[in-house]
Amino acid sequence: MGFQIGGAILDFVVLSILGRQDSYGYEITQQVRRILDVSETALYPALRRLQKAGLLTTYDQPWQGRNRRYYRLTDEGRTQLTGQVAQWRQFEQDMEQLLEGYQ
Amino acid sequence: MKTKDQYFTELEGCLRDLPQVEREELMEYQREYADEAGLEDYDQLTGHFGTPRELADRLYQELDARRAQAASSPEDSINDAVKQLLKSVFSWTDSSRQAEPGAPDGQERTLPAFHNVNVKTQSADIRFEEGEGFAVRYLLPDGEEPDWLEVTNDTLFFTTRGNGRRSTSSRVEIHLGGKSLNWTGTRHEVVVVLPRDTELQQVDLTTASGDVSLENRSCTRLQLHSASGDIRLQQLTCPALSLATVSGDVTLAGLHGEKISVTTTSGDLDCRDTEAKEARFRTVSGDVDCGAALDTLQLNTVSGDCIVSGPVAVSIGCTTVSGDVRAAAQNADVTASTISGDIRCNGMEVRRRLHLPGTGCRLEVKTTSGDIDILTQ
Repeated sequence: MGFQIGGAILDFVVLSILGRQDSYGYEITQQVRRILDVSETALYPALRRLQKAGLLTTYDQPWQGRNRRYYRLTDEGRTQLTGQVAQWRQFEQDMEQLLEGYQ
Repeated sequence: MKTKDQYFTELEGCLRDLPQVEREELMEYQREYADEAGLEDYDQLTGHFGTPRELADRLYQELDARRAQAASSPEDSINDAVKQLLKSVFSWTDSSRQAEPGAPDGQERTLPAFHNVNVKTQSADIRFEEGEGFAVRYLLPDGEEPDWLEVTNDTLFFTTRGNGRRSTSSRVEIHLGGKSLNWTGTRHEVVVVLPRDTELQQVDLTTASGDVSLENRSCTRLQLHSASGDIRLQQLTCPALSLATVSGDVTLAGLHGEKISVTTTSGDLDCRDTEAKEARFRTVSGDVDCGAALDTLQLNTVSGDCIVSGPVAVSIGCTTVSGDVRAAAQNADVTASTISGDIRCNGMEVRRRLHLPGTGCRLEVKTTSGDIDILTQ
């Protein structure tokens, strides 16, 4: 599979996770890997890219004597996510129609 | 036992190719991740991520892939992404995603300038040629067709795919060792044409059974992946070189590098007239013949034989299970051990362990059943 494919779907999944609540690298990675078969090393570059695109921002919060860097959707990120969810829902509907009658 | 800090210091060292700010942010991320995962020392970190070098290589690959993806907008529609996904899973043909109309097979397609190359083929060979300007030329076998050809973000992207069509051509095909030649003997290949003095940066070449050759060039990073195709690199200057093949053979000649990493399963590796700082060669059953001038050399095989003859300044580490090892290193400080193999040093038989102090580089050889033959004089 080309890198492009992993990219857009991975971005969508990351944005969806952060759409529910802010989270930090390790936790985001665990959640993504429940859905997508990507390696742990794929997450940092994706987060960084989304950040550079203005869809995410970060803030630090101390936790048990160390630092956790949290990621949060920006307004633009939320808009982007909303648009992508709409497209995904449309796709779901189309598939539903296609598969009507199958087990 | 080595500590967590030592792991991260090594990792940082392997990430030197990154700009400082990016490297620092990545290091912070990795440290935090390791803390969250409860990885407390060097062994645990290696068990989880691999060696610092292996982790760094994977991070570079992912960063490069994401950087290239940044060429297209982050607003790629989910529709497109899902279609791509399904297409590759089910091999549907998708008429809305044609390759740009390419030149008919064999003719050259002129392109805007690029300094990075990312080419993926199935069975077509990949090679580079000097030309007046920038172009690509391809002659693909039946069953393989261009999927994506674009110059964007200073990078040439060219990907082919198997199209699943059964061959209807009346051309006579001769199959030699998995490679297809048509009846005139022309090889199926993708040729990247560039002006002679182009300063290439990142070169990524991937192929299933095509051969890859690259010569008389320089680039900043080269990554090659092939399944059964052979790899031949000659007269190449490249600080960061990483090659992986399954059964293809690798020939390196006249290379100037800093870090060279080669991994094969059954392919053989021959490396000579080469200068670099660090080289790591790993095979399962392939043989390794290394005559390169290096600072450090790390060789790991399972059943492949190892021959080391190049001048190595600092250290040579060679481990194999059943392969034989022949190493020549003047005045080396030698530690050699084997469980059931024979050891011979400077012509004399030695029993299972050998320690010979020396003033030259450090040479460590370990085998399980392979024989060891060392020359320090």
